[in-house]
Amino acid sequence: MKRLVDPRIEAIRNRFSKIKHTVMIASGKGGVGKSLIASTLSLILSQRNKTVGLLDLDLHGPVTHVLFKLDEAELKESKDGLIPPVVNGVKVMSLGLLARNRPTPISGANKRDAIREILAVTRWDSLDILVIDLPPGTGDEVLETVNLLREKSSIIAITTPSKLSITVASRLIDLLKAMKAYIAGLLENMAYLKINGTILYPLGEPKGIELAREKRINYLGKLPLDPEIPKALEQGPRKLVDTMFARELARVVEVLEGKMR
Amino acid sequence: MHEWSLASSIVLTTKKIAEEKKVQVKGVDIVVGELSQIDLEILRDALNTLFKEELGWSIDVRIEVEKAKLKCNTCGYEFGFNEVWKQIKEVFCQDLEPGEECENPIHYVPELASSFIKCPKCGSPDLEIISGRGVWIKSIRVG
Repeated sequence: MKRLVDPRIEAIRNRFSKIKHTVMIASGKGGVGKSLIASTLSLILSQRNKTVGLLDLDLHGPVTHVLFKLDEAELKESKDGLIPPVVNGVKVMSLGLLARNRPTPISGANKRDAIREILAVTRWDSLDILVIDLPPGTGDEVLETVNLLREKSSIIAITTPSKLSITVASRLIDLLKAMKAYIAGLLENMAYLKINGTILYPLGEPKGIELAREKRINYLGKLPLDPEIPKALEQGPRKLVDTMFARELARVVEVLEGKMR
Repeated sequence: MHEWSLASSIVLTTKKIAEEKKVQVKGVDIVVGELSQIDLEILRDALNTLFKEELGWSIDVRIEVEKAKLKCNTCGYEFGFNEVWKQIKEVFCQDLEPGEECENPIHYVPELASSFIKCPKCGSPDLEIISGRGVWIKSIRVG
């Protein structure tokens, strides 16, 4: 049946009119620490008395609700949409809360509809910042989200020093630029490991700054491989902000604040 | 249930189109996908209320339901929502009293259907929604 108008577009516009800044965390490939960065960033911003939301748009592998130790019972329904649960001051929404930890085999055009639906149905109310954990790669979900939110959002591209990651990050940046998205900068994760005062580079010497220079975007800094992280994750989100990883990310937040749209 | 937020977005969208096209709206035709499991009476009441209270419009609101059709990407079988409703009930509404509504997340995100139902013929969860998802404005009647 022919669709004249999709009212979700107006619903999304209306929802996002109450959000001052939207920051999307993107990467060309999985496994670069995007969800950890998005989650920790949200917690740091919340500690700084910002009203913060965290939206996990990874349709196939949502994990932020696990990181925040949430289950579906904590997602509340209202006549005006779904109300995300609040953990440590962060409003958290993830498809994982709706999917009850089942697989989400969403294919093709259905992915774009799923993204629109989540953006239209989630009731954030007023926020200073919404952090969006995008799925890895440059598939339908990323294209749809960027298209819908491009005008009012900033993107942080994540890479590691590995050659593979740098290569796909380069392609991601090209794509985002071609889509006229605003890239706040490149952040290099797993850049070094500090053991007893010695700095090691298990994934190779950091090369993100060279990529940022080549692509003419900001280089937001380096984050460490932090052995404290697995234990902090077990203990819950409050512990995450006490890690070296979080302390380094907090420095990035200061750089980022002047660069957000 | 989010019938009121749906109604609000329909009203906002209709208003925007009317302003852009500089037309007076006499009525709107809404299509509701079966997978969305919208309460049509609540949606109709919400639309009439919001058109009247937000815009001062008394217009004719017509709502029709598009039947859901799903296709299995594994065996090609096409089927309706009624064929798999039992599977939804088993997951979400086993202890439901007669007459109680079977609330489930497919109402909010119809694409989640494949997380909770499987092809009735071959059991695959690799399903595609052919029709019957979401809510949209089919046409706007103008004066």
